[in-house]
Amino acid sequence: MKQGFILFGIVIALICTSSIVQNDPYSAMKDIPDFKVKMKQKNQSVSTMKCDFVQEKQLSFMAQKVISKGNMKYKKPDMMKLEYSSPFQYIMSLNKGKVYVKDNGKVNKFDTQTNKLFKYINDLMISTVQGNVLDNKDFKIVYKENSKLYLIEMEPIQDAMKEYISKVKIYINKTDFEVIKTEMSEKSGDYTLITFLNRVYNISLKDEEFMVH
Amino acid sequence: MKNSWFINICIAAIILLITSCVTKSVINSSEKETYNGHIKSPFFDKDSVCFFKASIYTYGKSLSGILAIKKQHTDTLKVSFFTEMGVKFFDVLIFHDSYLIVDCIPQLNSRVIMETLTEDIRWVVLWNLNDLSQPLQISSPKKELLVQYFYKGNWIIGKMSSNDFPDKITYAYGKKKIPKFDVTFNEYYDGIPRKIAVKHHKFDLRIHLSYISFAN
Repeated sequence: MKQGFILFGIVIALICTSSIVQNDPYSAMKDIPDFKVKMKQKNQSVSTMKCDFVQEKQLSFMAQKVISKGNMKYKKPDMMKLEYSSPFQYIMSLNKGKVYVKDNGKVNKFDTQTNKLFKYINDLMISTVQGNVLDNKDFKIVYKENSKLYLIEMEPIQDAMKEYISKVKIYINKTDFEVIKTEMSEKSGDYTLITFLNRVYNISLKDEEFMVH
Repeated sequence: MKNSWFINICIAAIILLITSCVTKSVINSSEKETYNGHIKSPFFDKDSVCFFKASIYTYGKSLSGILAIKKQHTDTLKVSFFTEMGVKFFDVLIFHDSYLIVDCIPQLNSRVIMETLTEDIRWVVLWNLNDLSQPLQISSPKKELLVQYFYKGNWIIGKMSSNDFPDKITYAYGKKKIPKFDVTFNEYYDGIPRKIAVKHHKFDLRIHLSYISFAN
């Protein structure tokens, strides 16, 4: 009976080991200039984007994972709206240098020029969605890739921002250069993973759709 | 003559101002009798973690996010507060009579702020019920079931519903039982209050909480 348990344990260990080996590890990107050119071409071809998102927040302190959902709209050059629908209602719209937040039925407006944190988040979110982080001077950037994805790892340079975010990872599809997910890590080890689903590009989005009432 | 009339008006105004500034006791009635029931917490019965959408308002400023409260042991709460987008405000361990900050953004990392928030959180989930003693039922002109407890030199006054869950608790202090803060529990559904509000009396601090479930 005891030997059976040991054998079972060995089999489980082998399965786990083989699944780790089968992972597609990331290595340093081979041709960064080519990647930058293609990302730029992709960014130039996108004027609007609409998608659903799933946000997964890992709370290591509590050994819990929480998942929220919503949809996102983006319009060049600087409009983006995140609308959480489950399990809570919350809207954040970045609109021409202003941040509008609707929470509990109330709308608050923040100016990104006077609020450094909001400016940081504003720039980060827009860059992330565009995949246009290559020119962002607030981060130290490392380029990686595996067989299917490009991975851009960004570390904040400013100490004040490191209090909030220690690293941002952006995963980009190699075939179409679309951003498929982003991961924001904190110094505690917690992370927030946002996966973009049902992406639709270059549809008609009016400026009014980014207003919050 | 004109001067004395003016002085009288001033004195009357000052008396009015002073009397209006006196903080009212939370209990006026002196009729009390022993209470045989016991205040109950509606939390952590089915699930060890409670999630709330939380908004904190103070002096014209506000902060919102998700408040996660986990019952780790009978004497420990793990509490995490983070923005809707996942950026953390703080992680804190709350015990029955102390707390330990694990991680906190600089803007909130002060003794006054964290002591206030942790005490509020204790009473939002009714964590310190075992420290309540001397339960007395107070006669209320509104026919409400009011129960007064002694709590670490202070007072907890509970406005009870019929099933021993509170509709409202007031943390009060001193001989006159001056209210420090209220916690109101509204919209009970499936045994859990869906809306909770904390309101402080000595300074402008209000916390609005909506119970949410991340299941599915």
